[in-house]
Amino acid sequence: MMKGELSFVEYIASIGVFISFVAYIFFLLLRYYPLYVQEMENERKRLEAYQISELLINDPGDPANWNSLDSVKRLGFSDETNNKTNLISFAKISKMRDLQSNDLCAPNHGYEWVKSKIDSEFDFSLILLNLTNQQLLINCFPSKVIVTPSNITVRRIVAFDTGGYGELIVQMW
Amino acid sequence: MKNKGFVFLVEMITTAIILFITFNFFFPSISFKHKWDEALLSLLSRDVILSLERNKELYKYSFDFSGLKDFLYTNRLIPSSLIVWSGTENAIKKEITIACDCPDDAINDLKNSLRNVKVNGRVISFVIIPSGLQPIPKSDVLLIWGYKDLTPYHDSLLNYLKNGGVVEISDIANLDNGHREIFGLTTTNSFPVAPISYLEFSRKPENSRDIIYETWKYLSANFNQNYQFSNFLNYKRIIAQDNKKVLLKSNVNTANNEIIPAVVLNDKYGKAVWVANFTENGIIDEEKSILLSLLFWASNKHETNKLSISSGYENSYINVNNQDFFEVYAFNLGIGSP
Repeated sequence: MMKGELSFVEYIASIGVFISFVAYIFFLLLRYYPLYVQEMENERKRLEAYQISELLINDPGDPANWNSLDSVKRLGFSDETNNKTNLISFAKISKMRDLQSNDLCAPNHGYEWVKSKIDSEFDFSLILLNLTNQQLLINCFPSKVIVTPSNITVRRIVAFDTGGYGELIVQMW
Repeated sequence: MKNKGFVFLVEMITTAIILFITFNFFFPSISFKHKWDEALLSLLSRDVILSLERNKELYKYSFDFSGLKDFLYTNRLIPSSLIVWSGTENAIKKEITIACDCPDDAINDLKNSLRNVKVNGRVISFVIIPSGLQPIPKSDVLLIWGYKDLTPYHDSLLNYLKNGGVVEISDIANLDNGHREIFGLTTTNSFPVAPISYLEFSRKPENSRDIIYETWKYLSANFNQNYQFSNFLNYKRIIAQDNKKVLLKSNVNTANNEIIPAVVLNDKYGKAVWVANFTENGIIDEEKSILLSLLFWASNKHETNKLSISSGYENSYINVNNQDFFEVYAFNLGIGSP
């Protein structure tokens, strides 16, 4: 064998190192890809949960002065006469309660309607609690509630135009 | 030859290990970090402030931290697992500490004058601590009672003005450089064209940003302009460098048509105010109002209940009260983890 020439063993070993390197990179990507996709998905859910909470609290809906569920094109609870952030109309909340049966806005009792008026691509649950007397005002969720560590929860504190405080909880999965 | 192959294999394995270590160094393991937990804390604090304001309870709780804390935890606006703190910027403190460079009998006069004080609907109390001019103890406002040459204390006073205000009640015998610079005063050769008989506001403020607006607002409600301030008019040929900073003046000008000031506000280095001595025959109600308005204006207005916590987020809200004294203040609410 001439000096500087690779032997067969050396050749095989070099190829082995190269293949190991490629495999290392490949498995690294394979390992992180699902995590990355999951994280992107969670990020989208976080954004959407925040956007929905913001829309419900600080937007009066369409039409702004909706006073019956039939006329609602987009759902929003903000009091359109005061038009102030974090101030929601108790009259609109009362109308929303018409959707509910036994204090539940469950499947076939308005969840699908709420989802269509919010236009969310994810499933969610929506809870509005009157903090002054601990009354559950809105309680909407789909037929299948999935509880996983990646469920996203956004809590918002609001004031009612009639006085008192409420807590809006949007959970998305 | 067999030995040569073995050595080569060891070389290759060593190279592979070095390569993997290098790869790990240049391609570190990926971790996903987001700041949503912090964002949600900040959002909660903002929501609470806005909701309190919408229910017209923000002003009440701005100055009552223990009441605010009880309210937030009892009504479950904030989970009890979180720490909350609050503070105000640019609002009169509920307890003002006065460092008083004054004679003993003046301290008693002062204590009597500063009882049962209420401003903008809230009770204000005063703590008076005897002080010199160097060093000046930690306090919200320094009250200098009587004339003394301020030139030797120039640096000490300028340093104090970074965090607190200075109020001086004196008939200045000789205008030294300390007084000139700190209070914005100067002298004149001219005398009043007629005997001084009463004091009046030098002018009406142009807007709420005018330097005299806050004190004018308080005094205009508590000050009887027809009152004869006979012990307040000891004219020493002192005038203001800038007439716009004169709050109260005598009813007559000098022969050179200069304003004869009784109260001059200066905000060049901090808040400093000179007022001609009105205490020779005790302090009557109108004089008490003048003193209070000046102490309110000059005092330090930063207050916080912040604790040492590992992490937390604070939000501010600008609120206004113009009931007795014009206050544009920031209310800060912080929420954090223990």
